[in-house]
Amino acid sequence: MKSRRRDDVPNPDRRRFLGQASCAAVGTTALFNTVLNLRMFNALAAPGEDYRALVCLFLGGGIDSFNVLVPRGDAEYLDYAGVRGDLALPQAALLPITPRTSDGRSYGLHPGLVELQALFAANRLALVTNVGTLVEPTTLDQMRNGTARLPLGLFSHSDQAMQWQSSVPDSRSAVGWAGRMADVLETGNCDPNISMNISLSGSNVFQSGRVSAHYTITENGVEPLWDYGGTSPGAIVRTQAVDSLLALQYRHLFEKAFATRMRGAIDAGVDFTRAIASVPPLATQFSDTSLSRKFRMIALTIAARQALCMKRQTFFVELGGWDHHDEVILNQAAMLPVVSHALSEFQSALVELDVVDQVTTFTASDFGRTLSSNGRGSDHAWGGNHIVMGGAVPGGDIYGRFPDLYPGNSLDTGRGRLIPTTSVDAYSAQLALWFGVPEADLELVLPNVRRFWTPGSGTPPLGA
Amino acid sequence: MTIRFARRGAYLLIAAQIVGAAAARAAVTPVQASRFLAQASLGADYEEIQRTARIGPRAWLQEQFARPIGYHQPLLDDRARMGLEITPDQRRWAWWQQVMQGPDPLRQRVALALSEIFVVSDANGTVAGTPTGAANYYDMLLRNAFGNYRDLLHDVTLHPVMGAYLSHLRNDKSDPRSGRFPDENYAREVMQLFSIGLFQLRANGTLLRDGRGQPIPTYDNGDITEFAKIFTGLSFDGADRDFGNGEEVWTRPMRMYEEHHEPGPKHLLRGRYVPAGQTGMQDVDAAIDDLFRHPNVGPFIARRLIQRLVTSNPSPAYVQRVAAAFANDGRGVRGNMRSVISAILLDPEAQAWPTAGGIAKGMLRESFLRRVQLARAFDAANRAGTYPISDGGAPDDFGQRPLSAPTVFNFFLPDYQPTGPIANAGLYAPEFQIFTAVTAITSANALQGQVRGVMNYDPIDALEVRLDLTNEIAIASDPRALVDRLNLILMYGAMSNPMRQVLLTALGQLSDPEERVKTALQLIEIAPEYAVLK
Repeated sequence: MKSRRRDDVPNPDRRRFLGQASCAAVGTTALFNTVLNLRMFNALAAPGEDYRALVCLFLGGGIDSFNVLVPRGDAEYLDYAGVRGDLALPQAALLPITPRTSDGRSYGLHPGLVELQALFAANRLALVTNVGTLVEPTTLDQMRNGTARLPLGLFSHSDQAMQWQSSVPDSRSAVGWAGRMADVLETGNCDPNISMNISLSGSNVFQSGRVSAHYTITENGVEPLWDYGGTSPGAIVRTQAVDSLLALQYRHLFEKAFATRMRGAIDAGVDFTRAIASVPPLATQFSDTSLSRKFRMIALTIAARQALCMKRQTFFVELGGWDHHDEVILNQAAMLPVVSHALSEFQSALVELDVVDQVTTFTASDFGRTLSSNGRGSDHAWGGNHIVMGGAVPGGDIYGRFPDLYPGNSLDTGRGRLIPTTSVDAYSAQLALWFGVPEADLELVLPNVRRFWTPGSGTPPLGA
Repeated sequence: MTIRFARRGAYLLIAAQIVGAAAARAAVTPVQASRFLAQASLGADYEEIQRTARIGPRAWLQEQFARPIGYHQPLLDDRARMGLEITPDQRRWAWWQQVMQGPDPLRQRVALALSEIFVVSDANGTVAGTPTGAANYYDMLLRNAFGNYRDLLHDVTLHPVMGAYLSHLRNDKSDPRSGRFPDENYAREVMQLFSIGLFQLRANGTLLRDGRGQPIPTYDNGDITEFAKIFTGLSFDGADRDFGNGEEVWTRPMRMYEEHHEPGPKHLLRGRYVPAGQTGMQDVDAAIDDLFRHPNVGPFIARRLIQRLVTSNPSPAYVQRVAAAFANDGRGVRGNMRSVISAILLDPEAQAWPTAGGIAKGMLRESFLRRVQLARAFDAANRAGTYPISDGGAPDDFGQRPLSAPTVFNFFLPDYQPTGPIANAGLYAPEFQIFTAVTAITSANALQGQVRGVMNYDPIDALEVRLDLTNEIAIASDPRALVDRLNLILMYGAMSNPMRQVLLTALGQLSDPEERVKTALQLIEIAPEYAVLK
């Protein structure tokens, strides 16, 4: 089928998926100067505040995303229902969406995504279709004759989750692309205790740099170290002793790492708690789910950006439990509304905070799942559909080429494991450019990106 | 408590003397015994350290191999017979009861390690729904801990809790008409996580590489679809013999329903295959044998277990020695777990004393195990002799709780590298994956609570479990003696002089003996030197 071309888009302001940041926020060739420039730029940037945040919602386990974005027209629904068997959603239940650019087919969203349907209609949310890890553009013929260079550990959770976050599927590097950005940008932050990368879900690859380690918080912010800093005589003694223990010189690398992390956690906790306490409460109501509480804490952290002294931030939230080898229909019906509520509530909070154009939220996941059923469930596969949300997103559209779904189509490696038609590199590049990585420096953040996109080509990574 | 331990010690001394002729008994110093027990058990008190020093590690292992098994499920069955409720909390009570009071500290230690390799988790709703089944699964690990790996892999494969967790329970044969294929979940993870791993290994655990320097996969997706066919037809062994909707029997192995088993021949690995016409269970056995005989299993399992017990970064030679013990226990038997465990714990690399030059030896203690060690080192107990500890906060506080991993990939990955000096040195440190800015604080707070309060809040005082610090308080008038004793029990005497000075300075400013003990414990628990088991 024909490739969806972004220059079909009528509004010239929306020619690009996400605009690029106007400043050279991430420089690397002359690090000091770039950071200096960034600071100068920031100082001059008033009244338009230069702040941008990327929020990664990682759907752990590999979401069956061909039941998130579903072909709805009669002909294409037949293909879908035929290959999905007992996993097919009823045609009438799909929530209709009308992409601004038509590829001739009709689409719908999973019935649990009511709020996301509204955001799509309001052009605040876009879908990117059949995205996956690729070492290089790959065809079925190349796979069959053994000449394709394939991601390591294709279809395996641990490898694919790592590669979605590192964007380097030909090595087992646990350095993520937000981590690489932070390696460069971090020195620009004025609070040395708190990384520009904040995780609501513990350790992750996405935000791990070579140098920069992410900061973790919970849905409630951070807990202080009990007794530390207390005013009783015993607490004063112990506080001094804790400080002394953590200040000792450790040669053993594990002891050194432990001391650094404990010291950083104590200090960052103090700063973070103070910053969050300085912002007024949010009027936006969030649902009583862990995911919504996490997005609420992200919104509060964004609200505290000046107290935290942040110009660029990333957030990482993982919602696990998508590895539906069984009962995919029942489980998605319960879980997708949780996602839909949390995302739309977050978007409302960003509107309330007047930063809706400065925050972009995107989904990622281990992999897509087999189109064919194993009997109420689906198995590990490859390409999948994803969501990008925010005021800067030219929403209301589907980006990339929605694949044919019938068995044996030109992307089907078996059981409906589809070769991705958009690489994680292109997907990440689009987001990184918006965040402010200059085209010239993109390879430092996404080492393989030139295999999929040529900087300076004039078309954005997801555009051609 | 002292009497109980003294009595147990005396009994064991006699037992050890009986087997003593065969077991090489070589006394070691108390600090050596303490470090050995830190690797081989979930924590030891002062008396057990002294006793182990007298008989030596080798005799201790022989003694442990001969001990009866502290099963968990019977404790739940007792409750059920009394008509009491069984929830995952009660399963945790049973876990604590046997970890604290069971006759088999080594077996309990190894079973916990196995539960982090052959992962099932009550984070999964179905598993949470059958605490008795989960306890039965854990008991299966306990039973096989000193048996043969082949039996272990077999019993893991056929356990209905694993079947529910990795969805090969009720996995049906393919149906071309509806386009249904066998579920691939178990087929993939049994290879990737439980037996051979993703890439071909040398006998020392390092990667074999092809002519272009690339690692060589052990299997491809075609192999997985073939193994998926083998793991079809398994479901509950209920009296109704109903594959799809039958009685849920969680405490017996799954049985084969031939009419739901994929017919026809199936490929195994490395060119082998199972012929058409076998029974389903013959297929399963052939597949387990195929994995069991794969040259990867020894080095793969060796590294996994060494990482749980001794060090995050074993040398290739260490892995090779343990893999050799897996391949042949000296009497021609492959997969003997006693041989593997002995090889891990008695290896020179495990027993080498930490030196100032050893900047990467050992491992970060698993954060939850710091809680367990405190409890065992100081004989935590209540007046009722029970352990109603539900650990409701543990997943948040420690990022960890037995049998509650977030996924089949456990709480942390074997190849996790924290940003900074450890990753820069090319080293692995799995436990750092759950030691974040959040859990650094929450685990320290939880341990503080354990030292200063109780391990469980209960409306009935007599049920609250507390550390017994009597012996420590008795000597706290002498801070040096106190620090020496804690250093032996918790840190096998390896506390540096600077750390010791920090503790002594702090204790010197406090006068109340109990406050001295609690302060010392609180500081040790937050100290980097304690956190790393070297």
